Amino acid sequence: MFKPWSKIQWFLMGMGVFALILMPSFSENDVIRKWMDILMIAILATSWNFIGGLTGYPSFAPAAFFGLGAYITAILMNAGFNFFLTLAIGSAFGGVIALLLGIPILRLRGHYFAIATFGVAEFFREMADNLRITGGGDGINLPQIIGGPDYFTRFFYFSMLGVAVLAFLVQYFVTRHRLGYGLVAIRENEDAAAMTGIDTTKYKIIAFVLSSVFPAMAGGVYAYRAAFLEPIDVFDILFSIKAIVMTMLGGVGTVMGPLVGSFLMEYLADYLWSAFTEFHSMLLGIIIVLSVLFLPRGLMHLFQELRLKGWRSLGAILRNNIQRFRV
Amino acid sequence: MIYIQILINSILLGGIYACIAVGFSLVWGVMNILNILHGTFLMLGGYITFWLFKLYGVDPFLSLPISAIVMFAAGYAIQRGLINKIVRAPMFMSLILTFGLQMIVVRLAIYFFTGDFRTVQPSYASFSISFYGLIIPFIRVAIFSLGVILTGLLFWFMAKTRTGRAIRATRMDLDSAQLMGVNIGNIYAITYGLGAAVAATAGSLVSVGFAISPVSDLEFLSKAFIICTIGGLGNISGALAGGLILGLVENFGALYLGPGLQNAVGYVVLILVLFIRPTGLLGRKGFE
Amino acid sequence: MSEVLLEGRAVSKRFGGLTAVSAVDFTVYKGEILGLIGPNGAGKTTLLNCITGFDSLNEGEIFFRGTRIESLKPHVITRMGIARTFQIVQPFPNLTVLDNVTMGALFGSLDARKEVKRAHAVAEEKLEMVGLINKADSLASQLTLAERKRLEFAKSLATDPEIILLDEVNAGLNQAEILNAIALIRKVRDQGVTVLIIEHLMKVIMDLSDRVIVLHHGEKIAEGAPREVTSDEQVIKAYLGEKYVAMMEKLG
Repeated sequence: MFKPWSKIQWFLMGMGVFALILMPSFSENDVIRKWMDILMIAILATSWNFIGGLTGYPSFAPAAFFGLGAYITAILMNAGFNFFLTLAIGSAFGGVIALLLGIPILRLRGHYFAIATFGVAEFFREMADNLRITGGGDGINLPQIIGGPDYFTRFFYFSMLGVAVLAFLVQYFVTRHRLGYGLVAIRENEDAAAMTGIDTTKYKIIAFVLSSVFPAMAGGVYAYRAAFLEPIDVFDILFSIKAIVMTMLGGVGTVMGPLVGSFLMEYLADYLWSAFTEFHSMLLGIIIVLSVLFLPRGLMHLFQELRLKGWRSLGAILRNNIQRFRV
Repeated sequence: MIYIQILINSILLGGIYACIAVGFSLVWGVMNILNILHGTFLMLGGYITFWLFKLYGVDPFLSLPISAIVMFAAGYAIQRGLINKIVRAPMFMSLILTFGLQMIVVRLAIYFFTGDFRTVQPSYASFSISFYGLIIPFIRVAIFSLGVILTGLLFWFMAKTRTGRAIRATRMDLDSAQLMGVNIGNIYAITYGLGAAVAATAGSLVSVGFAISPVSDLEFLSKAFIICTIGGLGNISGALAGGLILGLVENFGALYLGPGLQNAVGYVVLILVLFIRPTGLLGRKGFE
Repeated sequence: MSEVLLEGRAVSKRFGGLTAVSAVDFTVYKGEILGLIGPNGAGKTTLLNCITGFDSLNEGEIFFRGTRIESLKPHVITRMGIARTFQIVQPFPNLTVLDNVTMGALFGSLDARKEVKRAHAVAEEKLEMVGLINKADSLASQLTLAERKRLEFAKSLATDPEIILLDEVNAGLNQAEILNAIALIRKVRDQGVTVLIIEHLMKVIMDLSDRVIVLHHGEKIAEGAPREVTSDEQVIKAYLGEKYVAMMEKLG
């Protein structure tokens, strides 16, 4: 299932990360900002993969924990906390909330689970809209970061990169150990998983917690960078949707899938919709529809098939894909 | 007195809610599709009524059948041409597909209709009956009654017609329905078309009493989520019960906690119901 | 007979008004093959569900090596050493045959600190045993029914059980496949695993079982050596119906 990576694979990955580390030294600020957004989506997608991809529970919760982390950083930084400390507290708090919510929610299956997580995200937003501590619908200001745009663009970029690398490493090690096998068994057949001795409740909760801590961290970075938060902004269900879509595009349940999906699509899409800024969301919609129809198992799977059958069979593979799940 | 007034408001609102949710429940129950486009169909129905009224002066209640027919055709085409292709894929694929379609349609709606809030204002919009200090707006009563009639019609259709029976057979057992000669692709498309038609009609009704915009659709959708989960999916009486409960909860929530928390209360009830009875209050076991 | 491994006392399970299992006592001794038979709807599978923690009991107690297990969760019961197969096979469809069995080895036993590599080795050994090793890299969903039944068997064996509960492992198999399965079950028992088998095919039960328990309408109506049980009048009635027995008596 998940074979440990070879030295070459690690080397290539290391080169990739190295390139991302060097990139800001010779790039414009707006390029760096774009990559920061890509990394943020990659974090959300990788996190969603824990619960949605590996465990098979379609969650809309990333937006909930992203917003939660953002608000915790905002509130704590206003109280004078160190930024990095707020990230740690935010993700720990996100993890605890995920644990408490997960115990009842993860008893639900299928669409009921999806709706419950959607309800959680919306409930969080409504609370942020009404509580005094979050500034209500008026939003909340954060302390401005000190330093010029060159400095803070890089500061936020490297913070995001750090979270992304952490999320990736955790996912890699989870999938290469018992935990990952257990999660996949639950996705494939939950009753049979219990019968092979897997504590399904515990495993599902672990997956849900893992899928919540990293979005909370990313939310914290986002908050400090934005310097101003509104509930509708950070509890946007589109964060969850993007996480799901990018993972699906790349390949559900694979470690590289969420990364490939986010990098490729966000980057390509960026070119596409700089031409049609007004129709940004429509283009994303079209990409979603086409990829669901033609790449239901994601790009990683497509690459594998192409390697086996050759590029010439691309048309046949796509035709086959759209026939696969029809009535 | 205020309690009775709120009770009346809740019931009137609940009837509309039921009507909003019933098509969503149908599509979910029969095909196990969480139809993100549902709110969009409502929104489009509302706009059909709005434009017919604004451009040609068509009375909003007369445009209901037009909404229904147009959106039935659209729904049928969407299911036949797109969703049927992935019906057997893991269930969140259909969810994502309808989400993608929603993004396209909503963006186009913003382009053509602008993002302004619209409401249909016929001459009789402000009529109301009042007695003993209670106010009962005529329009709300009309919407409520039509909503209930519409729900009843759907109930009758499912129970009595040949197609309705084929839909129920398909829902219970896909494979044996197929063996009995039911054309599944067609039945699915009809079901989806029906869901869209009922949604559009509900949207037409809503546009008379409430303001709509292209982005109202997610609000409608989240109401449908909550109502179906409270009532249990796939049965029409569940949608009615869920609609009434949500109407009551929201209005009394607004009274006690302030209008800002009205929606939050709805989500709390949603999550509570899921905890206590994962299949909804009137739901049956065995559907995911 | 030797030591008691698994024991049920007055086990009852009701679904609404229907009593699926009614005050059944049973004992499984270490090292035996115990057959569990009865007409359709007799409550055999429900009894297995009760033992493995999938259904909760309404009354009664179940002991495994002297420990009460009736309120434990399925995964705990599996780890204690009770494995089962399902009447309708339950593979992990999109995983390879090897990965399917690996799951059992990774999670099945109490000393499950084994890591993935070690679990793969155990899985290969079990696949060898059931004769599926040449299919190790196929997806579970690509197997034939007979192969899936053997996969299910290998998966349960990989959990390193002391007792294995087999629910109609032979249903839908042809003659040659059945002979194969019988040999396999013997082999498993000879390695020290106790077997409780639900089976419709009388031939299999007569061949394999040391003892047989007969359920009818949720009640235990007979227990004993295969030959005794099959000549028991109540059992014949249960299987063939009262009328048939009356007719046979009239005919002498």
